Amino acid sequence: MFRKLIGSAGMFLLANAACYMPLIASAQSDTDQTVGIIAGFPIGAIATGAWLVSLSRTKKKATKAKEFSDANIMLEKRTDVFDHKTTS
Amino acid sequence: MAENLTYKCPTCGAEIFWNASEGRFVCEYCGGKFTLKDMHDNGQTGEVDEENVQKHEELEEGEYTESSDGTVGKDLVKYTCSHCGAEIITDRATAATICVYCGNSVIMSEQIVKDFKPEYVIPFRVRKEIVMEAFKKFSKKPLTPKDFDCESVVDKMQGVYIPFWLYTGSCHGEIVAKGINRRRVANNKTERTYYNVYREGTLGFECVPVDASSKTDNDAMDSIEPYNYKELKPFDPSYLSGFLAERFDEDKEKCRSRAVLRMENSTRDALEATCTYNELEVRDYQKQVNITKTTYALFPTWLLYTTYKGQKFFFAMNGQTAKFTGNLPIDKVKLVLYSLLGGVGGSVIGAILAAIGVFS
Repeated sequence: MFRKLIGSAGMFLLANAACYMPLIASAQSDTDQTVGIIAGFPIGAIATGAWLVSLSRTKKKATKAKEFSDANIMLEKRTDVFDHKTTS
Repeated sequence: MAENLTYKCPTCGAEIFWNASEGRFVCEYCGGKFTLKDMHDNGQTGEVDEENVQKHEELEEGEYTESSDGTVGKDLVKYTCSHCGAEIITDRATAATICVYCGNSVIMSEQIVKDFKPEYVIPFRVRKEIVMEAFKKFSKKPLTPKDFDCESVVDKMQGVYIPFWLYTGSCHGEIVAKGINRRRVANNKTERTYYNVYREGTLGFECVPVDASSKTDNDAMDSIEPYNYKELKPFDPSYLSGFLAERFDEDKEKCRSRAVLRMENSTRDALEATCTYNELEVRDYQKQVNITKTTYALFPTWLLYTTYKGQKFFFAMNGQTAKFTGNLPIDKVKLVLYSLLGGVGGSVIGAILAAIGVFS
């Protein structure tokens, strides 16, 4: 329970760091390079960690059955009616 | 007593087993190779007398306790090996096992007759040696702890025929959606054209598999799909020779919802795929699944339950295609170090992007 709490707190802090560090960096820094360096660190760390963990986790629930279906769906009705147009 | 499922080599008389890679019986002593038909022609049919099956004995309270590694459930029963007379304690849903005392294949005939008789089986194709190589390759991940001993882990791997329900039917679906096409126009503006979209259609499905054993991890069984149905054979007990087998303990009604959900989701995907818009917002999806046939089959898997630093891990391999799945243990020190390295890499990339003016 305690370990789970610590883990959740750690993930929360990391997620916050990833979101807010670029903002903090841009507010406090004078150059774009500094923003890039500071913002790049948490993003790179989290992306690397998540990718490596995903390599060790291969179990996933099957939610679809495409391999067992007919090649094409038999369409009984299809309509595409123009509604409106916008420009922005 | 449990019946022994023993096959003798027609040439030398030694006990022979099903050979996964050869796809037939192979004698380890004389090297003779025999198909199922050869064995039947030799009078070894392996047929079970349905009216005269041997029943299990109930355990007395406190007589045995269940294993802690998850290999058997809590509902244990007792059989007697007809070959050596030893007691075989096993789960109530076990259909075939190997006597730990005499090493003979033992079939619990009451588990493969009448309502429990499978219609089809896919024989094992992958040998244990292949499993060892595949697991070594599979476990070589950057975060796998160094002391995670693959050799000893694979040694505990067992070939098990897992019960599956195969659902055949169709799903009728209707979607109501908003289709949007985007187009760049003058003055750097975007024109969006909106359409009211309706699609109605039916998609057919054949043999959507759902594992029918409560003891196996559903996600793991899903992950080792698909099996090649071209190798489905009418069930014959001889395919179980040398392997373990389970009979279903979750009936077809209980497992149906998992197949239905998969059919519904795939039908929705197929309907959406007929809408060729830049964006599609589905407002409503109505569906109706009609299951026309349910088939009971046994599929080959290599299963492994193991413990590493007090934590339980489960791995499974498709015994026909050698596809592996399972969640490996993670070395947290490695995770932190690699993440820090990734962070340094991210900083370098950030600096380069800033230098080329991406942020300005």
